[in-house]
Amino acid sequence: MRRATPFLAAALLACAPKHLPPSGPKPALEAAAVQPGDRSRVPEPGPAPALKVPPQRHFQLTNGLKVRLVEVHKLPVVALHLVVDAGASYDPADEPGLASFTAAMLTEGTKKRSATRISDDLGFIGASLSAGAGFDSASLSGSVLSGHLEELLEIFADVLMSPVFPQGDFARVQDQRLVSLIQQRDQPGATAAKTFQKLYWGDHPYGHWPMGTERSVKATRRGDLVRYHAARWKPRSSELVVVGDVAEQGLRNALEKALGAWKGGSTPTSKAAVAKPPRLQTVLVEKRGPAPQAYVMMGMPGFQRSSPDYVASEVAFQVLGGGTASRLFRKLREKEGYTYGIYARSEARKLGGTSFIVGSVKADVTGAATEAVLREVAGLRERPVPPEELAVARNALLLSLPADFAVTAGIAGKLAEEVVYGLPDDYWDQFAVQVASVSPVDVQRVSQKYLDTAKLTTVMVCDPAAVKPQLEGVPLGPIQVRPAAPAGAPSKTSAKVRAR
Amino acid sequence: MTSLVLALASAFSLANHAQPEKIPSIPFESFKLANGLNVILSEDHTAPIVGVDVHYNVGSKDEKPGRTGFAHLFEHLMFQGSAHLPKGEADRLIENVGGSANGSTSQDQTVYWEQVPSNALEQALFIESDRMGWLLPTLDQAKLDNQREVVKNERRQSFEMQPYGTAFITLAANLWDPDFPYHWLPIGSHEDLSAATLADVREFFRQWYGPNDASLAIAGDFDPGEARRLVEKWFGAIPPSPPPEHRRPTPRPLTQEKRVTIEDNVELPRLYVAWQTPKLFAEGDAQLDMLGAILSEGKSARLVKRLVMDERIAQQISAGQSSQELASTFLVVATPKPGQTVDRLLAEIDEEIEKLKKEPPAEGELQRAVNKTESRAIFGLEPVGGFGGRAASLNRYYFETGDPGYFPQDIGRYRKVKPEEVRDVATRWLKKDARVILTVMPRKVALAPRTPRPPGSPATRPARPANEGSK
Repeated sequence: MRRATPFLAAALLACAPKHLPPSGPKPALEAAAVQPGDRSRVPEPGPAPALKVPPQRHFQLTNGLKVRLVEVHKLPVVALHLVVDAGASYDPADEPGLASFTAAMLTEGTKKRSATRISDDLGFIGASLSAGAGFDSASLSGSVLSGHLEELLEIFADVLMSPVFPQGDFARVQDQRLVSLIQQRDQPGATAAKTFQKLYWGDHPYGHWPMGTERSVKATRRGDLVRYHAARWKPRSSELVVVGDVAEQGLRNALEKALGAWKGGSTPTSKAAVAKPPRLQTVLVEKRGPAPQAYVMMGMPGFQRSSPDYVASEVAFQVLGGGTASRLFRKLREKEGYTYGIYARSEARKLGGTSFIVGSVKADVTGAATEAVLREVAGLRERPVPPEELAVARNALLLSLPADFAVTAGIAGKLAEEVVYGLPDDYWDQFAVQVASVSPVDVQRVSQKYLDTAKLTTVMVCDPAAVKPQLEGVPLGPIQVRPAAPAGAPSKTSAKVRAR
Repeated sequence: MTSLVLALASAFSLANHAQPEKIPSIPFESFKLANGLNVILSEDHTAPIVGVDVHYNVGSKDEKPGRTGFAHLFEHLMFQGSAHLPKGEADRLIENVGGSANGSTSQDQTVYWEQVPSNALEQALFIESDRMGWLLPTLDQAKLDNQREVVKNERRQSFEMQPYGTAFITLAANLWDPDFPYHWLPIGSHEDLSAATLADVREFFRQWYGPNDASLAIAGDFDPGEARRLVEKWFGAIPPSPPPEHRRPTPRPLTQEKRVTIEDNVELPRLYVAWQTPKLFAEGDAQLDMLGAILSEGKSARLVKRLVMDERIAQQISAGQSSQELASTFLVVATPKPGQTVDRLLAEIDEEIEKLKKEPPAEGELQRAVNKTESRAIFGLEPVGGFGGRAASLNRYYFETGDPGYFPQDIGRYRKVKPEEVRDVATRWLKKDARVILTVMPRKVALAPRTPRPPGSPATRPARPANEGSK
């Protein structure tokens, strides 16, 4: 065991000092002996610490469920993250939101626990547990102090294997989801993303909002969830990530005991889908009420997570809009004051990807800000990035990896990414090596490919009357104006929902 | 092997065990430089990362009339470069070592932090010390004007563009009297931001940013002897400021129920019920934390069970104590389902609170609340840097209690809470005749045709706040 003896712990507790006298605990070090530093030169950092990706151990339960474990014994905490091939890309075209709704219902009642009982049992051991679905995967994840891992595992297994989707709780969650969607009408970010998703992806599996629409949530029946869960939540199309203060043998036994009874084969995986041909287009969605800013979302064809261009593109996006040293931040915020925040990022998924530039800009400079964005993109496409600037972007990506691997949740996130996208165990070591070799030519090449503003779809949530005139002459394609969602009390979910 | 790991791993287990074990402590050492800067060091060598955190004992509570939002605007200016770092250089340095950095301003304190790989500790200290000692020489009108715009955009983005975004501004203004500095939020007003001058910046820096009213905490992978030498080297020459005088006003108590209604562009109304409550760590503070959890944390929490789970008349409900240095707020927020009214929600919320005034919560309810709180606190210790990380916790406890290592006492408070005490704080503090009830109502808009407005009508002009000053 890596645990200290009670004696040691007590000694450490006792030696945590209160305020020490100004001379400090080490008399050998005299304050007067330290000369003020020479401020004319910024101190150079020492050699960067080596990236130590913690080793993963793989094993399989008798039911076929794969497990990958990283032992971290720095705090008495454990994180569990089950990745399931049941993401929103499987949503039926006429029932968007099904994957997400199904996942959300897992913690709303099982054969032996009511929704409140699940919540209470988790609360008593100070644990968290939640399920959800993005486009490429669904997940059930939880965390707990390691002394209570077995108790969490028992609840984890219960909600995973025996959810009953109680009719009454189904109706309650259905109404909550519907009302959430209604509330999103007034949220600029959600409004823009929903509009973009449909406009850009069309009938592609990514062409909807993972939570669905007001109409589809209303139309969903309990039986749909039961069937979806039975079809897609299976041990052989799932993998469990465990990170934290736990030893392998004990974990194997505990998992076999908790999850051994989870049965079922695998599920067919998604097929490649054809993306809609991109075209230059702009939609201005009217924001209800005053709009002192425009919420701007610009997207272009990107790349899949598995693309060989992934690494070079990450560097390109870092240069363009990845952080406080990026071009968009420096130009649009720190020079012009157009915005509080604007960034560029790639959304690289299983079946395709998008290159995004997103930010909120002051309403009366929306035209100028959009032109500035286009200029920065053009700059990246037309001219090689100066070596010093490129080095900063590369370093930001690769030297920050140790911090990601310093906390349980960070490790679990990196591992889950490997699971979802089928990346090898040494992926992050390789990633670091590849980032270090990205050249100005590489950045320019991927920028030309994945930041193609001739294929730009732009959505702005704004006051179109104020913004549209500013966009005259800005090459954003035809501009369509859409009125705000109709205001007023929406219709309620039918109280009488038929079970199917 | 570092001590924290061992101390925590061995010492912690939740209180539902027969004999709850000792709550862990965060090992640290602390000292003061000759100029008065407080320094806290906490080693942890489990990852090659170090968190650097500087807390200044100033927040929007220290602003003067007509300059609301200034403490936060000033925080932005601290990222605009200093005498030995041109604008943008600190950002570049931090990204170049793979670190991250940020700052924040609350009503009570202002925080700056870097989390960097351990090889870059000295750079982070250089950046923070240059800000602390050499901000003014290169601070000019252009930087002020630029960040004034950025902060106004922050206000627009985070408040004005968000549904219910301005509710908290209205709530604060009604809960606290105009002379009490929680009357306004750190974001301030456009008008006051426009009024800020370079002279204000200089005065604020001299008044509040001396090393003698600040604390530097370093947590993570470093050698304490070396860190101490580096702190002396870079911060030692910064002269102290005259000791700042912090006002410690007490709020004027509410003497009646105050009802306020505002309109917003939202689909559903929302109800806010707010009380003035005892300040952080004062008698009653921990009990009110537990009361909040018993009312709204988890599906069987009193208000959630009744309004969301059983009657299903609320879309959302939360309740809790928000603890601050001068006074705290206990706040209940609830959103009715379509077709339901805030009046009904209020009546039922009141009923549930009245029940708790008569009958203490069950042991089990309280125990769950305590266990959740303890568990969250342990998870919070994991990162060494960042908002709320270990370095930030040490600094926060230092300013709030004088003891950076207050963690076990803080968490220990909750284990001592008795069900009767939860009942008593409800009776004592959540009075019906001393509170603010704010209702946000959907703005009544005529279902006007959505065709484009005629050109030249007032609404077609670019949105420009009337109070925005020219530069």
